[in-house]
Amino acid sequence: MGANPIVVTFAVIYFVIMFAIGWWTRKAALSATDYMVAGRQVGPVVNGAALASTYLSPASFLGLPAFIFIIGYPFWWALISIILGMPIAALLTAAPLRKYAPVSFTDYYCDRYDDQVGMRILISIPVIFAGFLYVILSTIGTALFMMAILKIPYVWSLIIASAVVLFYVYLGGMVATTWSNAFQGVMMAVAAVVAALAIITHFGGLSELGNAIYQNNPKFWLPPHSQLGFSHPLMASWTGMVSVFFVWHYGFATMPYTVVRFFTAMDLKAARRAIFWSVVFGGAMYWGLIIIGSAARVVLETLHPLMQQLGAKNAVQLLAGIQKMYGTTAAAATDYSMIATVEALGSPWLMGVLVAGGLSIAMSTTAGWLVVMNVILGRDWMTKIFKSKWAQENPVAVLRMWSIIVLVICTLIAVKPPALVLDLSGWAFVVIIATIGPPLILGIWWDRATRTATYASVIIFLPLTLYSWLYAKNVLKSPHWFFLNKAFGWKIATFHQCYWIFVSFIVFIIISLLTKPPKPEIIQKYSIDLRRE
Amino acid sequence: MFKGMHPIFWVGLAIMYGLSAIFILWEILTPTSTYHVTIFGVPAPFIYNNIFMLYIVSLFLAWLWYYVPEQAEKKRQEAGATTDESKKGA
Repeated sequence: MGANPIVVTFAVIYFVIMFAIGWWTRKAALSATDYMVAGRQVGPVVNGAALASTYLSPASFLGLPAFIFIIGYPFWWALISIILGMPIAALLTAAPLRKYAPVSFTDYYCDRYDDQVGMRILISIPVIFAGFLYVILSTIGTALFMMAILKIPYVWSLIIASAVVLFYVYLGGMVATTWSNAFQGVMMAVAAVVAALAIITHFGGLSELGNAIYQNNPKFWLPPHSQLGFSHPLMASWTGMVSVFFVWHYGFATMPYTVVRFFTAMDLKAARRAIFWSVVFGGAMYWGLIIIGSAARVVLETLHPLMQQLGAKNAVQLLAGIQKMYGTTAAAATDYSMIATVEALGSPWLMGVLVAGGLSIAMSTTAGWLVVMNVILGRDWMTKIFKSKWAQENPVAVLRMWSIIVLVICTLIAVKPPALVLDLSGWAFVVIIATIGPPLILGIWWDRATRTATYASVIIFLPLTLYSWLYAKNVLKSPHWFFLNKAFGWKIATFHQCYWIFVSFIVFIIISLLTKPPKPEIIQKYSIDLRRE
Repeated sequence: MFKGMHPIFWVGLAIMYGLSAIFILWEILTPTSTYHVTIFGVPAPFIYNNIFMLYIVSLFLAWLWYYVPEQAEKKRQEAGATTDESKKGA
């Protein structure tokens, strides 16, 4: 079964635009500052769209509708809280960090905690860990869209996806990444909204859609503690719903690939206003994803042409059949639910928009992380830690070299990714916020935040979050059960062990209070002065 | 801790977490709330959750947290300009 020419045309136009942005920005990123922070000239609308597309990854576009498909209505709160969490960054991190105006994500930690080498190495560790996981996942996400919609074999999809991202990141660095991400931010929102509107129109309105979902699966709408049962075992009690609210809630203010975008804003005002625009684009996309994820089961079971052909009895069997057909285990069967739902509506125009939106969201996250990684490895490690003369004399060349190295490694892993690599993305999110979130936020907003507490945060919570996550996944058969359930005989759901985020802040505060406070001049320069408007 | 943070930050957080808590508690305490209660003829969550909380509250907070600090800065600058003028006059 080949791809429809209309769908292919959409994809070709999308790729032409990406190449054009790369080519057009190649001369705009000649200096290292341009390459790393886009010359700090990015306006609020462009930065807002770029922020949304960078932050929201294929895990959003494919994974969140899949979670709604599996878990039901209570999971809507995860998507609501992700968007609600975005504006928090405006006053918490965006404005102070733009005022400080660093180049690399690690700079603030080094200056605030007065430790140029050790702190740079320490903060790099969880960032590089998570960065590799995200680049692998985003590359896989891009390839899945190309394979499922354009019908290109998986390995070729991977190679094309990586080559295109590398082309524009290599040539234009952060300038190209900003402009391509801004375009991609608009595309992904349009794709999700158009697909959702098509679904609502098909059913004849929201009321009819709600009714169809209820008729297909009456348990879909059940909140926790209902006498009528539950939508999913993880949602049997309130801890499930509350933990999905908080698991991704604080990411926008602390994740390196969004924080570095604040550095590119032209001024303080632009940094804060960019967040408004990121909510405009991200919120629109999430509105669509909620509709698509909720409608997935009923649409697949009543409309998908392969239901009969594969002899599937329900949507889960259909998705397993589709996964088998593609012959790759790079994604879980339910991850195809979003694409298959839109495919079931039978419109090549809709699939064309979806392929552009899907490629956008996946490639933008790859590019965003790639810039963070090449600055950390090329500038921080080679120039600041190892003092390489070649790196100091060729700042742009070294960043380009690391873009190639990182992307080649990630593409090779993505060809046949170990199952654990795919699963660990949820852990990666929690580990970043639990390890480097407290020293970032409290470093700005609390004079007593100390270097020792920062070391302790990374050293304690990197292994602890990983252990608890792996234990829950392997012993309790889901990373979303609280890892001590077995010991206490509980049945508490805590998505991705997200309670560590709150525990890490408490531990950071306690250790800071027990250790030597920073020098007054450091506090003045890197805390108090940054807080002033 | 959080000394120097604009008070509007806490007002915004109270709005966000207050509304979220109200809706989550209402859903948990009224199990039929999510499907059988309707607003404008559609299941209520499509309105209060997928439109109001997701888009309207988020956009309001994003606006609030840039508009109020900007106005405060503007007032400070104007006050600074007035002080300079009066100094010049003196």
